[in-house]
Amino acid sequence: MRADYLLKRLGVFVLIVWLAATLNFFLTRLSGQDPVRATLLQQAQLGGYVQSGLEAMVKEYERRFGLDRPLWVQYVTYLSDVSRFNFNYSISNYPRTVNEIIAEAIPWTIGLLGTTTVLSFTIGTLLGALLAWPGAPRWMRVLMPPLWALHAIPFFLLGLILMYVFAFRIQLLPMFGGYSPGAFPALTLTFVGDVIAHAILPALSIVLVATGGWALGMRGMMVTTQGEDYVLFAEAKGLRRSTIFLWYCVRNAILPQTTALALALGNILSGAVLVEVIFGYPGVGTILFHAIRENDHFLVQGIVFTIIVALGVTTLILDVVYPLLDPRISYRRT
Amino acid sequence: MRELTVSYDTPLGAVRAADRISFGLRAGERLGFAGESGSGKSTVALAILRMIQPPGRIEGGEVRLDGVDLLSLADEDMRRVRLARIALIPQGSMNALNPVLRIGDQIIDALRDHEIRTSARERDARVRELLESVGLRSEVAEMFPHELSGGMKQRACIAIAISLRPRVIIADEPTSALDVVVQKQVMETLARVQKDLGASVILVGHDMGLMAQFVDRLGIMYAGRLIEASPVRAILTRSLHPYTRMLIASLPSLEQKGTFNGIPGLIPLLRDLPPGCAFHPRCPDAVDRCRTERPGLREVRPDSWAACHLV
Amino acid sequence: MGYLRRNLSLVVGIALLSALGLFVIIGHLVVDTSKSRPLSAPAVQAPSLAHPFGTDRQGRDLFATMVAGTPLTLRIGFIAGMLGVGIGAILGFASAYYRGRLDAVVRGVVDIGLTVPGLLVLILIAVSLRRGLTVNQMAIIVASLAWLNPARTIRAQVLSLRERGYVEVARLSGMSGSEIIVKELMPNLLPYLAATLVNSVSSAILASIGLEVLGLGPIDSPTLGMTLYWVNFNAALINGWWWWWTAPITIILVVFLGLFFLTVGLDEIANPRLRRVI
Repeated sequence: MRADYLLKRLGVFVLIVWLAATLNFFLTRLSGQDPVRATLLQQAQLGGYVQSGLEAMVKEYERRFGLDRPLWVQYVTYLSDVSRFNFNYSISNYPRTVNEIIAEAIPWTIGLLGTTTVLSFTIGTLLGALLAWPGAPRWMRVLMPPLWALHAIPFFLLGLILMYVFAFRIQLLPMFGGYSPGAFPALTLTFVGDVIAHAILPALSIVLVATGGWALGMRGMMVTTQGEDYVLFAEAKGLRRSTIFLWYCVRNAILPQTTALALALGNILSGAVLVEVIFGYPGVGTILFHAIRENDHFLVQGIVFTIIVALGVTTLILDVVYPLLDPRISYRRT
Repeated sequence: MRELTVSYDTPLGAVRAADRISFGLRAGERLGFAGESGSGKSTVALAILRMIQPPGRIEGGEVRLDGVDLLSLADEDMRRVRLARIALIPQGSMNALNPVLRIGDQIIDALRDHEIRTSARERDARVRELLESVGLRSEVAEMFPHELSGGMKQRACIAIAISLRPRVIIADEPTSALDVVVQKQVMETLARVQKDLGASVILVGHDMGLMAQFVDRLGIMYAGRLIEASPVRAILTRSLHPYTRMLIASLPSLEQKGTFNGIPGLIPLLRDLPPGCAFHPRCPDAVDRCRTERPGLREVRPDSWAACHLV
Repeated sequence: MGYLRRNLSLVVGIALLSALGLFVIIGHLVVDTSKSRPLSAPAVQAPSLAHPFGTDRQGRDLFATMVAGTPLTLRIGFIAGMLGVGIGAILGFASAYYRGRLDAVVRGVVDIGLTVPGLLVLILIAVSLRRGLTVNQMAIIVASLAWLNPARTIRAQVLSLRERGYVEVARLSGMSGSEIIVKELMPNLLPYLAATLVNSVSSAILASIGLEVLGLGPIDSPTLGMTLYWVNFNAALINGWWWWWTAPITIILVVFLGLFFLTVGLDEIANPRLRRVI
């Protein structure tokens, strides 16, 4: 039964990955444009003159990128490449490969996204749980309205506001980038401090907005849980308030909350991409932005695919963790 | 219990779900509380445990256990009374157990919160002992509620209820969600554990057949008021209050064949009770006095009480 | 009326959105919207009487830009939202009512579709269709994914309603499936559908602004998102041209807060069991 569930989730994951790859492949070829020719033409224009032998160059590049072969051959090659994580060269940053570029950017994004998601989910859930509990301290209730209103706006909007206030007006925190230009990446305290300083504003714009959502959700689940019969019985058992709160209410309310997390991942990621662009934070978001600007199809494809796979993996992990929390799931056939 | 009154604040005014209920429970006795839905019987049960939630509140009266008025205790003291002195077997066992904890853990957390200090081994032995006393295998301790059948869940609840050897067990419609065969099992289990503990049982329900088989004395509730309380035999054969009489008469019997007799009319809305006796609009024997003066509970015969002007 | 007083969210939401509407209407009367095109005014002017919101680097009068752009952004959101809910409702009702294979397919597509972050797919589509996106084309692109969420939530609601008594009665009295859907299920779900619509519009606006900020929107249109794109492009923040981005941000704030309060208000109508406890 357990294996059944796992296999099904894995199957869905593979399906998603394949779908992403295929979408990637066909959508970018939708426009019928030849990315190589377009870029070369662009560069020729910038250069101010048309090189002779431009056609020959285009043909050569096409051959190299495999763009001269029939579509289905390209598709198969693409799939086999992708499964080996070979995303080809970046057209705009040739001769760097897409892999290199993505590999550089990913740690930044994971750092930002990972920390902020964990922080906002944990704080939000705790806050939400406490808010539903009559014994909670009063000052917490004051936090509720601002968080509630905040969570309605997109991350990047708050990002812009924060940037203006703290980076421009008050000049407290740096405005762009992952670290100060010219700083040498090393594991020294100053560098780490620099990185953190640059990460604060982007992180804040995500955390301040997302926490409210999680808190609201958790509070709702707690209210529902508190109305359940087993909480009544727990009270009749003469259990301590804290026991009922933790083991009967929170422990049960956490289940739908976790499901909500799995569902929200996609949205959080989209929001984070925009935040990175606004702050010029060197994560996959900014790279994507530049790739779009440069019309670098391979890079765009590679990034989108990587993100979708990463999301799929995270969702898969959450799906596997969930039965550990809810004993009813392992035994249910979906 | 004396003059216990519980009211609910609704947007249309306060409604009395239990109105000046008084009764006494003897040690080792089985007392039943019967009545239609909304008659106030569950309210009384919850009130004893002081588990009435807002917008309900206990308006007045006292509930004494061994001389101590439970309604005047501090919250923490009341918490200790629950399960240790008075235990509840809840209605709707389908949902009464925490779905994410194992049965054994749900027994243990009560022991722990009531400061029963034992070693792990003693604890597990106690859990096994309790499960066996309700007829469940000891493997049940490791199982989760969704793995148990309805009857097993209810018996697990009984096991929890007796874990601290209470003096009073309140069983709130313990078998309403179960089929007849399982009902019998559960009630037998209840009878057995009660005898072992020497505890008293308050059985709340609407199944007169069940009451007849199980309880020693029976109290009938109507519209939030206690209208009769007598030994169960007396209620069945020589009931005093017209409502009780009509209730008994309406029960189908295997021997007599005939038409079903219901009680004409409907239960009054609690917020719109008629003056005087709450039953008078439906009572075939009502006189003028019934319409104006509310009858008090009187001992009409030895140990038989009724709230009616006509007896 | 008394209800409105209790449902504060609804009132606030409607108030905010009406304020926006008023701004647009009065704005159209007051200013010439052609000034929202580049080179219609001297560049980079701080707010003044002649240009109440200032001008941007390409010579657009920002007041005109906001007045012209807001309805464009809202229109994209609205079209995409309506289309999304329309398609989603049809699929949701059909799949929940008829079950069977249709349901399995719809559910599978929706589940997988919702796992993939919408913005990314939209980026892919938009990148491929680079040449000359119009506002309406953007709306259709956003709509292509907007139906997923409504389909899922509507399906869930219909599933729960399906087992109710009156549906059985209708079925037994010989009503056809589609009749039941239209005459019995839909009226009961109207408040819920309204809430879903507002939600969908809100997401659509967010998606469209997101695409525009990335530079994938209709380049020549003065929509709110494109304005932000130019703000980013021209590093307006560093250059201290605060008026350039204050206007679009404020308007976007009003839009989202307004839609949010409206959603909460509608949710409360749709689900009377939700007590507002703040």
